[in-house]
Amino acid sequence: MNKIINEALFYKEWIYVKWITLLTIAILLSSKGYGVIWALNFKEKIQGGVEDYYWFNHGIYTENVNIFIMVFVVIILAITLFIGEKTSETQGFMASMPFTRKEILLNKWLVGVISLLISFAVTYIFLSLFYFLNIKGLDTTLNPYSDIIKWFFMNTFQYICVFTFMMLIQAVMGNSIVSSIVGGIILMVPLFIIMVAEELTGRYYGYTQYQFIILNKLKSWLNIYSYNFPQQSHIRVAVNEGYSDTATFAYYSNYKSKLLVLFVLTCLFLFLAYVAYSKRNIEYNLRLIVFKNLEPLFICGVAICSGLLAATIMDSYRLRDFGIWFIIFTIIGYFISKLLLKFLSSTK
Amino acid sequence: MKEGEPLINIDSRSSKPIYEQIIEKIKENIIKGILKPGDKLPSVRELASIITINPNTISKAYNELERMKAIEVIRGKGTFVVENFQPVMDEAKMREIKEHMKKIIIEAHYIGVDKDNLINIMNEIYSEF
Amino acid sequence: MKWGGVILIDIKNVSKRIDDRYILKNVNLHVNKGSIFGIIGENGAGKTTLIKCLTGIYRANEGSILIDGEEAFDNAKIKQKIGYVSDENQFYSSFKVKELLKFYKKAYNDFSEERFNELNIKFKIPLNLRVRELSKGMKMRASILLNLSIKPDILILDEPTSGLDPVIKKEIMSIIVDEVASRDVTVFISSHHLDHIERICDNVAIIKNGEIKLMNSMEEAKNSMKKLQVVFKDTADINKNLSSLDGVIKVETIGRVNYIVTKNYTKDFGKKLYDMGAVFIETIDMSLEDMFIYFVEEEDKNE
Repeated sequence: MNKIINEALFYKEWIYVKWITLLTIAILLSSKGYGVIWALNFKEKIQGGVEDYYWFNHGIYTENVNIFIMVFVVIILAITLFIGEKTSETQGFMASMPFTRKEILLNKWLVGVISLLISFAVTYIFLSLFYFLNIKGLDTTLNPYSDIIKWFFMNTFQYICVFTFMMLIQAVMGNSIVSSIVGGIILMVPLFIIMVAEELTGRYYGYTQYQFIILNKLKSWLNIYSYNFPQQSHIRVAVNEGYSDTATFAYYSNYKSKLLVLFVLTCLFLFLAYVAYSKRNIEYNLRLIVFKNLEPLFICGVAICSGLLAATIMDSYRLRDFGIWFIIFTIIGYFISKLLLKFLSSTK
Repeated sequence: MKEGEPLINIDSRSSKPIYEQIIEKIKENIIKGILKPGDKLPSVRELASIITINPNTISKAYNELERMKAIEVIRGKGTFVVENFQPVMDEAKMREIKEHMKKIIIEAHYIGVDKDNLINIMNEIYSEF
Repeated sequence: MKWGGVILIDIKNVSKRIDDRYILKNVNLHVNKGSIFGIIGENGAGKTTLIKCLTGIYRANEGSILIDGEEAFDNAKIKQKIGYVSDENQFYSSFKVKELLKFYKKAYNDFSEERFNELNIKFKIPLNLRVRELSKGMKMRASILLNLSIKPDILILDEPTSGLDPVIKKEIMSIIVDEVASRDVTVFISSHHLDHIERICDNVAIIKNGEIKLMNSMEEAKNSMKKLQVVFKDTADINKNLSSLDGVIKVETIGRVNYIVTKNYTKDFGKKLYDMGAVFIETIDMSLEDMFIYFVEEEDKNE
């Protein structure tokens, strides 16, 4: 382990990342921590009601935090780690110091991962304490401790995966701020494309045909951001004699499979990030897309996405109209991407 | 070494190599009595730092002065002006001096300075030392 | 060239291309251990690019750069012994000096905090300031301070005295020379201050448009390029005849006096002039700066 962790690199990155860690802890505690406290208060108000039974479950599984805030935190994390490397004056600094590129990239990744782990761990400890302090008013079969553990793993795996993807995009692009934002957007693109395809097949083939159903199922797997969204389920609970009511409880669907997918993707992204960073040349560090042969990919991506986006917004029933909007905005997107490449790249 | 006295002024413009300038200046200082027999010279490192000249150049100058027996290195103590200067006859140097003198005499002739005047000038310079 | 030294920096047939343009073309240089090598050239000639290849920031497209026998690029081991002082602000502007100190201490195995403090008595860089709060002179001193504290074997400086006042300039030159004298450090320095280069460099190279046009020891360079003031008995066609002599870069005739600049001065040259009917020859002192200007002028003419 010593061969990978470089004390100097770790120290250098941690100077700023520690503040982001504090920020993340604050966000998590204020949402999750507050979430369970609120659930406790709510339960105390509604005594004996059916909601009583699953109160902790609700507290821990309900996402009070707008999904974008955590993604925003990960974006800031990625920007902080790379901004020094992409300023024309300081870009050579790291390169002239006694570090290999492998060390530099891996240590950045480790610092980010550890920052996320610490944030979630602190919240985990808080939730555990809360759980045990309130264990008397808790039905532990319905609200098992393992829920907290599942929450921890689900979220850490998901956000580490998103973070690693950001690292990959940072390794491939210049301009750390734009890279992070683009990274965040790219993760949503597969979902977006499938949603459009799904809607089109629904309209064309019908909403009950197998094409639609397949795409529908695929949709839930494609959105990495939503892996940690819990599924709601209803259950009939006997409250007292002769009277039963439905209670809702939440759980993670396909928990283990999702963790596996996230793990595999994280490894893949990390490997690609390592390869990209090693191949990167400082001479071209400030170009928007560092590797010349990836530029067409960027251009196509922006073009097609703007086409689809516009066509979707102009929501027209007729397929032909959809096609026309698509083509117009794909062309516009092509030119926009060219402009972006020109203005967001600088040469030193 | 007198306090505040400019140590050695090197003219980097001069076509004369720097190490030669150093040798001359030190020899001049010895003759003028600014450096007395037994005086400690600054080390190569010290001198290099004070006059900002490449230490290898200074080393070269010191080596030459040592060869001429104008200075001596005492291990562990430093570099000193020799107590009793024994001039060492250097045939090559003698030839050089003769060449220089020939040139000076020719040029003096062209500007109308005769032998007696030249000898007067030589006496003047000797009296400075 | 200085003979008999160990070659520490060996640059062989190096070419560097950026965006389809060759910045360096077939550069060949070597630097002996314990010597000070100066590289001079106009702005945009490729000095900084060459230095960035040396320090492992850029990878050469062709050729090799061996430092102590090893390639410099992505070589963390060899960079432990190389100090690099850049001509522009190389440190992250929001870092405090003491954070930089800690960073260097962790990154370099041989970093000596005693040396840092010892040097800082003279440099007086306040540890609590952030890099962006330092003046240009202080940033440069901080960089030199940190790089000397790592006890480098090689010190690479890219225009270390540009934009600094004369007092600091001398201070920095003194310190560089002191390091060489005390620790046998090998120095590679680029500068526009040719008077400094003249004084401290063992060897010098001139780079123009990415090519090395001249490489020689300081002494030989000054011995071979000379300016002469010559008067001839017979002045007919003298200017043309002089210009056609081998090595003559420039001939200026003012009245009866001809000023000749030649880059291949030998004793024979003087003899040739006498044969041509010279009655009076005198060499005029030429500084490295003069030499450089004439040299570049001639190269411009030849292009």
